[in-house]
Amino acid sequence: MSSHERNDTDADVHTVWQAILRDNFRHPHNRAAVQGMEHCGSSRNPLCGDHIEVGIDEDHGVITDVRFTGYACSIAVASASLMTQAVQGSTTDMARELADGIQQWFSDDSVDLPLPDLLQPLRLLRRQSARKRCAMLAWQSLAKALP
Amino acid sequence: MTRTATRPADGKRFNPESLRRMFPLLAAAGKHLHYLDNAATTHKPAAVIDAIGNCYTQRYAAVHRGLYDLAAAATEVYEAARSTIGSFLGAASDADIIFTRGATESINLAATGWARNRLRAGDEVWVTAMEHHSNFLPWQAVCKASGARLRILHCDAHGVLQELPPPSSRHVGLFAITHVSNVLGIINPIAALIRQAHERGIPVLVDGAQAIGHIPVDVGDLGCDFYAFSAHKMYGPTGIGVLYANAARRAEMQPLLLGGGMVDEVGADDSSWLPAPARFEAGSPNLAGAAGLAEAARFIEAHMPEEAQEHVRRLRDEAIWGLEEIPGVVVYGPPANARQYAGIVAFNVEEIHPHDVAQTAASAGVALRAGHHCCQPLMRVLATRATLRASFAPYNTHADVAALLQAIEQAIAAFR
Repeated sequence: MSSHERNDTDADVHTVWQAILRDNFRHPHNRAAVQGMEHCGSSRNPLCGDHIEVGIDEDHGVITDVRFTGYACSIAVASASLMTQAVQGSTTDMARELADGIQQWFSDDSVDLPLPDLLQPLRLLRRQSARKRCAMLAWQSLAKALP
Repeated sequence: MTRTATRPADGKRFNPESLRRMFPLLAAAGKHLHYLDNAATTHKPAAVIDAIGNCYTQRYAAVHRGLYDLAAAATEVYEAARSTIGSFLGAASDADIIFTRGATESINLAATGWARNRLRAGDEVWVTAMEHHSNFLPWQAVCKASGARLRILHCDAHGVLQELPPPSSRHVGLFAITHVSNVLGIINPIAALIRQAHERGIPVLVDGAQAIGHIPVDVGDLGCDFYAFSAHKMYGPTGIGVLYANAARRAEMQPLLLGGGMVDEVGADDSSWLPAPARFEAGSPNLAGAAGLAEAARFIEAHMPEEAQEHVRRLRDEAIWGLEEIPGVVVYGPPANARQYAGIVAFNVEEIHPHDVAQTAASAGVALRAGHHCCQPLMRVLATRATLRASFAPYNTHADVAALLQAIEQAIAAFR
């Protein structure tokens, strides 16, 4: 458990995180068609049939464009929007490390992961055991898309 | 048949509040839980929980295996449960009742134990577009294995089936159909369909998972060849279910599982099996499960009269009327007031993902289901990927419907 989750100012932090998630769901970043992009990967949540496809363009190992598309719930969309912002401009190696790390962090409560500020709101989603798979969808697709 | 008295056993009018008090979890949750996921699984009355407990505390030992008194008592509990279920279903013989782990295993037993060795390349197996995956995948698999063709009979968006396909030169090995759709709630006219199929020599398997305990079922009257169901959707325990198989089909069926309890004689090269139903129940039987299932059947007969079914229909109608008044809500399938529908309502809120609606409802204590409900072929008919589903039982009340409608309004306010 991170220090954030024990802090007395939890309520304030959570309100901010919630607002960030809502904003990313209502106005998702980089939600656009992925046809024709260099690398694409998609995942499906077999429980609900939701799916997200991620597309990546890269230049010498640096991600120059990342987008997502698909049919998914607010949590999956917010997580995907945050994901695209987190990996835009990073190297494909760093993106892979992050994608693997986040998936492990969602799957195993004992794993701690130093998250960049941008991704802190994901901590809210990690606590909702019924929705973890929704939150992980974009990260699974990213891992599949990465060359 | 699943006889339903016109009045509860105590002679008083049916009262959902009194019924609810017989379910310890619901009674304890009080107004904080509006449980509308009864098509997934129903809650258990104290009588069923006690029957399971009493089995372990008073009459527990190996079934069909011991010579001591306790083992004889356990065997009696198990076989009495079979007999209770046999008469509950209107079966001609107790041997028609094969205990399984649930409806899924029941259908797999019929598919693998009966259909697979009988189907030939070029034969057909019929299913409908509204089948749950558990009454679809086993048939898809046996068709692949035998070279038979799986034919999907289409239904419209209300769940109304087209007529049976015209006779052709192809041999139809089986027609598998659900009694009640787990998404649209339509009660299929299976009596007529079974008659038509039998006139053409086609055996019929009915998936009764959503029907049993909720509408009257009499396999003797229906004349179906197989009828499959689970205990946990009829107020009984998880982990036990039934495959009803009539004498003719039973004689043609091979066991899925081989092992203890089903053997007549085991030789080095060959072995022989006990007669049905034992030959289909290898391994130590689920004694406490059978005791719980039998008690659930008695509970339904005593406490869920025809009035209870009327009550569920009223709740469904009330929910449909209320939902249709909310702008942006689409209700699938049944018009309100239609009597051929059970207490299940599938719907969606435009532009809001069903999971998001269900989560908002959950935070208001309303337990709904969201997803494809293991019915992806039907989702394609409805031209959607997923829906919300509210499913009612007689212990639900008008307050549950009101909470549902309020939760949908809240979800719209939160996500629009």
